[in-house]
Amino acid sequence: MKELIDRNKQDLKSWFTDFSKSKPKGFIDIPLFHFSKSYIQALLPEYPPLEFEEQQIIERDLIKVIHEQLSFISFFLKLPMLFLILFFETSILISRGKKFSSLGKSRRLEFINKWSSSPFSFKRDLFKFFRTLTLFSFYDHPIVHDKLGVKLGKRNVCLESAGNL
Amino acid sequence: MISKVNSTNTFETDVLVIGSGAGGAVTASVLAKKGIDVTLIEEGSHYSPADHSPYSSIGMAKLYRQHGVTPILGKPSIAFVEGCCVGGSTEINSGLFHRTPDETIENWQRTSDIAEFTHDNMEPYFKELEKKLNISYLDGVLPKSSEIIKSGAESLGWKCVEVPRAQKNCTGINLCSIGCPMGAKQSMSVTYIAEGLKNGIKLIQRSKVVKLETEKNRIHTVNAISNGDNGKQKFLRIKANDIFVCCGAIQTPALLRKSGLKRNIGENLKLHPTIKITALMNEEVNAIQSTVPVFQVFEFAPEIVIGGSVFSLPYTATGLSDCWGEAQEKMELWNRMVTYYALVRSSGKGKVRAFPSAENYAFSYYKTTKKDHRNLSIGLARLGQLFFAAGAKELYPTISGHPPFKKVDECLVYLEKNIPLKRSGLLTIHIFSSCPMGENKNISATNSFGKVWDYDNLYINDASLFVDALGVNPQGTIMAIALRNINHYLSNRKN
Repeated sequence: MKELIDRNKQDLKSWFTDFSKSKPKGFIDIPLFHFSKSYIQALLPEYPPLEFEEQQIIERDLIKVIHEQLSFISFFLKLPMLFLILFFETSILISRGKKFSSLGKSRRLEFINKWSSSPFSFKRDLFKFFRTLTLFSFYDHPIVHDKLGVKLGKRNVCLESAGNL
Repeated sequence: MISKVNSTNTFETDVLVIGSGAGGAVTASVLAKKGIDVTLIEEGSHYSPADHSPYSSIGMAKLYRQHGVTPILGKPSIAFVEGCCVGGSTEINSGLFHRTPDETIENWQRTSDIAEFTHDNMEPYFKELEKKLNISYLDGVLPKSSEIIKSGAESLGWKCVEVPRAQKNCTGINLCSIGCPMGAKQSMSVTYIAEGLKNGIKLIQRSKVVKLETEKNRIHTVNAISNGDNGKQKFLRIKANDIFVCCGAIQTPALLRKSGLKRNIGENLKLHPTIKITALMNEEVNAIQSTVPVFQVFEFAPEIVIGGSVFSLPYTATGLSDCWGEAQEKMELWNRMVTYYALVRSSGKGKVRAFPSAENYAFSYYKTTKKDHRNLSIGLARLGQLFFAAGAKELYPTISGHPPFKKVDECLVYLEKNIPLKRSGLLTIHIFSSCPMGENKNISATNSFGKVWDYDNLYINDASLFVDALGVNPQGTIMAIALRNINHYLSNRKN
């Protein structure tokens, strides 16, 4: 079983490395990747506490993983998603004098939290989608697993002691 | 968009099976066993148990359609996932196996006039499947993640049963949803497909069928795009005497509609919307290192069924995401958490459509009903009640901005009041009925055995054939109907 974990840690390492080679697959992906980065960075959880270097590694990996996921979304969903992101990117120009992606992380998170409880479902759903993707990938990262003491693939102790193997 | 096609290959086969999930695997394997020349074409890749990873992101990228990002649109939209690999969704489900409830058989028979579809007709197929997939109950000590639902239901006096699973020597590592690395789950890749390959099935993996070319009342050529290891795409043209479409309840109607077949196709999508609660228990559960929960509560069936969900750190985080501000620090207590769902047999209806030129062309939307809304509210209330009866401390529902439940009375409010549906995170892994079978041509897309109306050589053999939502996990019913239909095909096949 140890081999299984070691092998897959290796897989995961190469997996994240592979993402660095992945390129945008269509003309929508380039702006979508560019602007979605600011959401992912703002939504990175604060728990468990991480060293600065660990944070950098996770952030880099997550952006790659999520961009890969975004590239697989159907064209008919990606296009409206891009329009919405561009709209939110520029909508605060008037009130704040800055684009969304130019705001600081905490300010961006404030906006995302506000938009996430919007009465408009398209707004809520978009930010729920980004939150879900970010949390899912973050808590799947081996560094986070190590921090929280999660050991994947360990056999069930109860069944083992019951001689079910 | 379809692009980069480098070359074209044309070949012939006697029978072509499109899709290798619960329906397609059975279809191809049974035909190959009879010595028929069968080609099985699958959009995803073929993996052995040793290829599977314990990391959810990797598992989803390898095994799920579009990495798991496949919503069914509506108000609210419903998150939906399905397998896209050899073995289809049997590679990513928990292997829970139900026979078709007798009440369902009678209802379907009555509404759609299905020939030779009774409890007695279906019995031998279920027996065969139960033997083949080693359908069995959990051995040894019951893991806490299963005990919670059992003890909660017992203290409330609710009907709760252990559901048998397709498993052999399951060691309880809770990785069913991203491919069992031990080969313990008896999914299609380790059972019917493994046997079929020995019997001569020609498997074409990583190849997506994009169109069926029709001529009068026959399909004369099937067009597919094949993705090679080198990233290059090839165009395949396959000629077959008979064609079985087994791509699941969204991809099957999408392919048929894209090919111009529309009669009752993609008009009657049904599903089981589910709502989840992640519970913080009083003691360690270690759900991550246990077999998937195997008990289900049938006290409110057939409309509402309560059961346990797969458990991993990323799934827990997404379960808490709707109350993230308050809940994120609770991630430290992940080993005291467990996630359960309330599944509703929906009375709503959806449609499947296909975009003309996109490679990922399927598009679906679904309309839930007031009755569904009520049942989801009751389901959530009962699920909360069950958790508190089992000793939960705090409950986190998948409702955006909803505070955690800290007392049972806070859940029971929803016995009378409705949950805010538009803020609820609904999801489903059970979809069906988009091309229903039966002799009533006004409502069915195929005859009683999956033969598409008006076409001589085209069959459907997957969950699309269901007449309505089932109310239980569908794998057993999909496979039993597939076995029944393929036996009927063989007995009527001209040599």
